[in-house]
Amino acid sequence: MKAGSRLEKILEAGHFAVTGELGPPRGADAEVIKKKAEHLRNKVDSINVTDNQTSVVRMCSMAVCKILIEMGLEPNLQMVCRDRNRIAIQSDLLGAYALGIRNVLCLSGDHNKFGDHPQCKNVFDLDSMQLIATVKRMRDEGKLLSDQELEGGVKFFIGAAANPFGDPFEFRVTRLAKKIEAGVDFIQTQCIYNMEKFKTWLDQANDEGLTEKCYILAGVTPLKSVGMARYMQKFVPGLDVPEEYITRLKGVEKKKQAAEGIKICVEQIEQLREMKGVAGVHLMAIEWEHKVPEITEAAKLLPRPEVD
Amino acid sequence: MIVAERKPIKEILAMVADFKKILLVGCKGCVTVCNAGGTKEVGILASALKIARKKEGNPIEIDEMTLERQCDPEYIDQLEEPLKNNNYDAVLSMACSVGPQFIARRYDNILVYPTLNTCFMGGALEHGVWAEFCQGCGNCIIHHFGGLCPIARCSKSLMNGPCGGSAGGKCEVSPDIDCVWHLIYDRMKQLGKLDQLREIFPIKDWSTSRDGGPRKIVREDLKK
Amino acid sequence: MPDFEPKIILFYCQFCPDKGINSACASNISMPSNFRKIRIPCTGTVDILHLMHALEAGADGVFVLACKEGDCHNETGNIKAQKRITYVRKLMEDIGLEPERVGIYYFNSSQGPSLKNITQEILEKISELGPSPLGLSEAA
Repeated sequence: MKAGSRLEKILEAGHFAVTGELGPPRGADAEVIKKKAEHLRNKVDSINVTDNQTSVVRMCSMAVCKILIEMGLEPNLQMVCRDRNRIAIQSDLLGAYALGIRNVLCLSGDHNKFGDHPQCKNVFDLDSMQLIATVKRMRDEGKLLSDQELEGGVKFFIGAAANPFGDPFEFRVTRLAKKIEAGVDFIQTQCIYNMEKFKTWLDQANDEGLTEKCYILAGVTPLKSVGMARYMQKFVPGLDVPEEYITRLKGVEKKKQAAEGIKICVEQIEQLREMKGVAGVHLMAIEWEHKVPEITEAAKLLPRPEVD
Repeated sequence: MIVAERKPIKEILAMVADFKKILLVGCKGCVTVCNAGGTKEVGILASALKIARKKEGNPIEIDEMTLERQCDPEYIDQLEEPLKNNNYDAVLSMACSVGPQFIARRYDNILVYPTLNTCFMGGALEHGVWAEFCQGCGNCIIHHFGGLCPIARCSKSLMNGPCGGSAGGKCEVSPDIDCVWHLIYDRMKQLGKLDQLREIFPIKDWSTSRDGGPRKIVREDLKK
Repeated sequence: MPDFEPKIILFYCQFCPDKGINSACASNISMPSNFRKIRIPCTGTVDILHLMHALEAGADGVFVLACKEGDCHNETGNIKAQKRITYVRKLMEDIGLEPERVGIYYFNSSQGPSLKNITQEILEKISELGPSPLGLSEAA
């Protein structure tokens, strides 16, 4: 065991893992978080807490992680390189560990141009690859980047993201290999809609033996409506929503589109579960946390296994 | 070269609102090449300012001058005579921001204003189009990336490959920006050097960049 | 302002527009006297500064008479002129002077008679705008 987190234990035991996601509020009300998180209790193994996603200011990820821990839930701390230099990153990691956080997801971060403060100065002192290596060094060598020995080490289960749909496509598996070499333990992918393209990426990863070296959790996001599907297809860079899903959603009356979206999502989870090299799913039900029980139930992911 | 562009006329008009007589100084260096602050642009700006002020019934007198460079003290010295012989309210520089600073450090009794926004170090992609190519990090690493710079040309300065937002060769920040990582990939593939991109590029030492404080180069062999 | 007689500066190319003006003359259509004509080798030689200086000197209108698209003897002179006109118009807009005082017209040898339409349009446009505020302050 590297960190002994619940997520790590589930994966180590060979269970099909389920992670959820929680976006912190644009305000300081802890009750909002508690309400959202309750929907995920016993439905997922651990919960990603986003770090000012899309560069919009929200409650800090680490604080929300702490609230989840107090609720008896397991958080995955997302950490982006956009807003912190190596001093802040290492300092935050030490603090996160002291608060009981055991899973860290290392990300470059969305560009600040997209957020609510496009005028800000960005940092990008490290990139996501170097962040992974930094966490690993702190964990395995007990040292900071400065070579300073840590008094009291950090044992993190290290995660990162992968986008099988970004360009250049041929470089995507190389990037996965680099993340593994940098020290990643688990990967959560970008939302998958184009199953065929994902399969191509996964096959390459299997061929290179990469799925033996880290756990791949396939990202899924239920489509709420035709509008959302179109938006993701057109405006979210690096997302590939095939026309067939839009046709399917269009084929039902508006009131039933959400139900159809959930049906599609459940089918996707079932397909992904059959694929060699997929160790679990990362269910990103954006502002739809209350649907997670329904989706996980329908996808036969419940009850979640007990570990320890 | 250093690429710059003229500030909006309204901003410049506001700078000179209280002045009756100014000296507008261009530069024959980079800003002439990028059509921002050479003799011609000095003429156009002077004319525009004069038209605007004449229209208000509050004419302004503008002397025009273009120096060989504004980043060398010997040329800045050439302003001494005109400044002594005229009662200028201010000097407006049409150089990159080095120019007005050099004028300010040489002459302590005259107000100095910039009329250009200094934008980046780059080159002309075609006539009338300039792009950024260098960030002056002080420790060039482009040979690791097929001769292309991910520090200056990737929106996130990523050193280990494209982020998930790279689509169709374009950066997620804007369709006007090429994803430099896509270009690096294509070029390394062409060169048969894709293996190099599999290596993790280590954390960069930014102390040679601006992060280490303002920089200075001293060449003892050249110093007097 | 009944007595307003606009002062117009007209740069015209020595090729098509020149021939057009000559053929107009032959048909007894002459350029109004308040147009100051400047014959130039190609409209591509019209510099932004020329246009600016004419305005600065108090011209009520500054116009360019160019060969039609595709007819420029130097291929792109008329296109360059068009871009420079656009630049000056933007600049004028920024400093609050009517951009309509500057413009470009295309004209060739076979269009002699339509010269009248062009000059009339210019005169109407400028009469509507009234005298240039720069010319006035100079007179005052």
